[in-house]
Amino acid sequence: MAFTEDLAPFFSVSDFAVVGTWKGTTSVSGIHDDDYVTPFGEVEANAAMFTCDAADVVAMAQGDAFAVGGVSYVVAGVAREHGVARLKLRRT
Amino acid sequence: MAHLRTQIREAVAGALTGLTTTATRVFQSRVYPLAVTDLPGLLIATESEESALIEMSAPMLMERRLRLQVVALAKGTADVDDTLDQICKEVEVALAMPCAALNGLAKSIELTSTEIDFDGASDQPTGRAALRFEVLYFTEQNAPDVAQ
Repeated sequence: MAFTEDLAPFFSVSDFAVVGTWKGTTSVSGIHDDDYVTPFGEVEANAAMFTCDAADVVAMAQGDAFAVGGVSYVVAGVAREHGVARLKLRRT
Repeated sequence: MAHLRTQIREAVAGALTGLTTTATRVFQSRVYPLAVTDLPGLLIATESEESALIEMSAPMLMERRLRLQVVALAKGTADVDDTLDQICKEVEVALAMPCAALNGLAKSIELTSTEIDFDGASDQPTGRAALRFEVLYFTEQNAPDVAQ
């Protein structure tokens, strides 16, 4: 029997999810990560990612505006896998 | 006095401090990552040196070829490549012979290679240009702190 995953509990704002805004109008709940990275081992930086239900961002494409945590980003990449989308965000 | 290699590195850092794009964001032999406020910036390091005796009577004269690297780092939403090229231009002009900062320390400084790379892993594109110079200088074997 086919199993259909319910992703809603993973992206509940009652737990660790937050709400981002896609193209200034569409709210998307997901997990916002802003990991510490060091390009070339010589520069401090952050790598912003947003993980959400792929069904919420079906039409999302590179270059779309996305805001989360009070910061404006542009979507630099969308990785969809097993019903989950991971958005790579570039700060504007 | 400090080893001539130290004097040369300090002199290069002095010559590169105050350039239009990188201003005072110049760091020597830095091992920790630059903060965002340190960009665009320059890292200066003396990487290696080849040396050979060129006189066999004491005190023996040594010819030294120092490999010195200047790394330009920049980050931004657009035109990081243009920023790196501009920094390279400013660095090359500042270290062109006759380089006043190296007067009395080294005989010559020559740009031998430039490697440019970009990284998209962080939230803004980051660029790196590594300029490698060869610095020719001479010392006596028993006095590596005095230029000949």
